[in-house]
Amino acid sequence: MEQRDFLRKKLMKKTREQINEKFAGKEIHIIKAVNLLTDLDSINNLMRENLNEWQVRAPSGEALDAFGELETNTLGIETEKAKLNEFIQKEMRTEFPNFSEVATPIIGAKLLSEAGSKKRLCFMPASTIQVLGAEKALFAHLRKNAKSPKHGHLFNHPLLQNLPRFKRGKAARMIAGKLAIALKQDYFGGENTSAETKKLLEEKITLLLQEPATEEQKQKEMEYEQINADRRRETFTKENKKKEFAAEHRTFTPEERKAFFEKNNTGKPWTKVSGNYAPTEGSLSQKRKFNAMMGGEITSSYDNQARGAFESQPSFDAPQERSYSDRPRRFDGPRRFGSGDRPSYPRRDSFGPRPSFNRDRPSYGGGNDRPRSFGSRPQFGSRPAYGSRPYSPRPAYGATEEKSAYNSEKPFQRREEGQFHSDFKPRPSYRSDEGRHARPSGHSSFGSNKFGNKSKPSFTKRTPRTAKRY
Amino acid sequence: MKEIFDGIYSDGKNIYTKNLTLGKKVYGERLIREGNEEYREWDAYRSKYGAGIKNGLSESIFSSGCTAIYLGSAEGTTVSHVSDIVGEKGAIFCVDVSEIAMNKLTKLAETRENLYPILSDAQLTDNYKEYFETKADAMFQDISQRNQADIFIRNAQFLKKGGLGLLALKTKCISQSEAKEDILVSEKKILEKEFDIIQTIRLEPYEKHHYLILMKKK
Repeated sequence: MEQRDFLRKKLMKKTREQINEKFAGKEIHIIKAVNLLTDLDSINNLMRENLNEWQVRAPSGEALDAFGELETNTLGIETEKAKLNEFIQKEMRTEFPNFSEVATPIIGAKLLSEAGSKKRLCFMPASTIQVLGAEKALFAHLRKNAKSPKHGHLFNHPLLQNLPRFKRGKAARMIAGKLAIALKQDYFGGENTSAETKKLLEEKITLLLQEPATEEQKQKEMEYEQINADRRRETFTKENKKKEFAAEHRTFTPEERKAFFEKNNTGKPWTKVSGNYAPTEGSLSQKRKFNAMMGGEITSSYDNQARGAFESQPSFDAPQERSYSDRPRRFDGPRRFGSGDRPSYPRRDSFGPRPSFNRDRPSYGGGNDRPRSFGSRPQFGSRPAYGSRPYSPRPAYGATEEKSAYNSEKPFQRREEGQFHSDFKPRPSYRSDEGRHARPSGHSSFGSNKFGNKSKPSFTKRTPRTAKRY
Repeated sequence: MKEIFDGIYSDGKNIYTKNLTLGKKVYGERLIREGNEEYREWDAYRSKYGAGIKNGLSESIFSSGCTAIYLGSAEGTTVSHVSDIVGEKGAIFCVDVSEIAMNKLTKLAETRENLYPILSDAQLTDNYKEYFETKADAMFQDISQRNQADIFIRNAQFLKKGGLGLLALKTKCISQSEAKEDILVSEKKILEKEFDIIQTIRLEPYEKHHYLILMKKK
């Protein structure tokens, strides 16, 4: 027993020391700060995006109040980011005098957070530091035959910025090598030689920049630039389309509406507008018409098409777009598991056999990918095998007739679109196979219950009244 | 209150353990007093061992006074109940890598004197080899790593012959795409080198994609 106590004390002391060692290091705060910084970046972007999209639509009154705080909040995030930046720079310079100078503090902090701790980062080889932050690409390279990554977080290093693509790998290797040395200097308390290493690196990289490119490299660069140009063109057109859309869908000021009304009130039936103002939320064609009258230019090809439609058919009824629920559907019949192009039900791997709620429904559709056709309904008196061809022969003489939807007393009624089959059976509650797996009673059912079979809370015996609960 | 296993009680609905530290809660669970005894409710949704008992585990690996290894102790939710079961004479060696989780566990170990915290990777058995001169009676593992079975085998050297082992197998850690039944078969093959498998149970609805495998060392 004494031995045990001794061991326990020893272990408690040791773990406490280990924990303190972990929490004492300043690097934990740097790591937290840099992680927060990247998170704030993405949050800021998201908020800005939403803000801009709203502002484009010229909100007023209550709408403006609803997101009035958002703008000040985004500004708050930016000040917070600046503070974090300052903190990281300061801490990195004291903790890693060499490393933070060569890598720049923020990139250094990112590498640190990727490594997890100062010790781990300092004991890393240069090749690991080079690809730190490009784990996905690295493991893709190791597993499949993808290309190896040239740089991870180092991609943002100022010395790499102006290099052509094919020279960046070499430069990243150089920088990573120097970083590994700088880290070891910092860990073991070496001198601060960061100015010299920085100078050396700059010289080396200018030399590298001057190196003439080989034919192969030139060709690759050309291809790459071609791809880049295509991408740029694409984004440019996308943004233009966005702008057009925004200009088209803006809400108009009261003066503009009034002007429109006065200009338009010519007595023609299709220009008459009820009320005193032009429609604010009218049909698309109406808006286009209004835009054209207000002197707005219509440029995109979409608009030209729309305009053509408008001129041939002057009416308030805009060419209506189909709603999503109205879309043409490939298949409307009972669904089966495992067919390729139709959505199959999600795997129910948790509780017992699948429910057979579809099995009793007759199939009047075709086979696997044939659409349901009303023309060739199965013959009276026989139910086709599930998923079989629409035609099936009459039963043999003397055979008992099977009860089905087709020979029941109720006449078969053609189903309206969107209406459920009258024989539709809801999915059985999986409580029916209770006892298979123990489940606590009173807890809501596992997963969503589509057909509203909400499990009722069962009031089982609780602890006796004498029990004191607190 | 009925005793279903050594140190584990049930009132027909929930499971409980006798509280070792009277009046103290560990993770916000319910305390129930019956006569002179105080019981702590065992939340099966937060403990895989508790879920296993609810789903029909045939044998409880821990008993009062036994020495146990608990790999992947985390913040001590399940460990606190195991500590109730083994009692003051027993010992639980809790292994975990995370400093943050271990920080909470050491605080728990201050009040419960049968906990022996070890901050180490469970794969690196050499780190804590020295503490197991006498071999343990039972071993439990709840580590979500790809080589869960391998870790279990590696730590089996600290388990005595005929000692019970329980592995909480998280299949999603091993493969995202393969069916969990297939994974179970392949993992069982690894475990059968050192163990005789007694029982495997699923942990639904308490945990998804988990199995609990009860074993006896050869």
